[in-house]
Amino acid sequence: MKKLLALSIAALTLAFAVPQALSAADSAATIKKNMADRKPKIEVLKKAGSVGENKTGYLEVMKDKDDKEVKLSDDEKKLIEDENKDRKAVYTAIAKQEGSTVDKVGELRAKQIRSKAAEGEFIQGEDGKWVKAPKPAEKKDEKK
Amino acid sequence: MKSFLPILAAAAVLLGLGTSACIRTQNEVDVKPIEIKPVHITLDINIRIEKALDDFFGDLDSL
Repeated sequence: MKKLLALSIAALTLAFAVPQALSAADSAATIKKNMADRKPKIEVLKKAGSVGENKTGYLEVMKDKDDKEVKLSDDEKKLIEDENKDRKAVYTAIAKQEGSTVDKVGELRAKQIRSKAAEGEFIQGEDGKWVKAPKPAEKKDEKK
Repeated sequence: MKSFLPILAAAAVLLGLGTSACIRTQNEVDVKPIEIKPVHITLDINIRIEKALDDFFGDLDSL
């Protein structure tokens, strides 16, 4: 009787845990592939100065001299929205795994992005100011 | 003999004060490591988060 009970519990655990683990792995792989597919298009927008990396770990549409958002096509807007949605999903998963908050994970990711940003791309510093990323040799402080 | 009694009493008081001062110093030393602990925990969590971010975004960043 005890063996039967133990087997039942094990079967139930596998029935729930395995699909969840597979689903999470599938989801992570899908997100990663989608991000890789989007990357070239996002880099074009970054180089054009239309989009920047903000201090919370997300893409943000830049503003022009009149403080109005740079105009993007519908496809470009969707591209940014999808990217930010996927980033949030990744930050949420890491926050849950490490017992932290989504905001904290985003801030740490923003720090990594700033240290790796290509020269001339818009990045937002921790103080909220937007600047153009310097040459890689001038980024020593960000790696600390 | 009587003249020694006040000196002995004063010596006993001074010895008592000296001992209590030593105990206070030991207590301060014991407290210091406890104050540092949260900083270590925060740093440890940040390092783990950065590692998790590297694990996920490492390939993408190098594309």
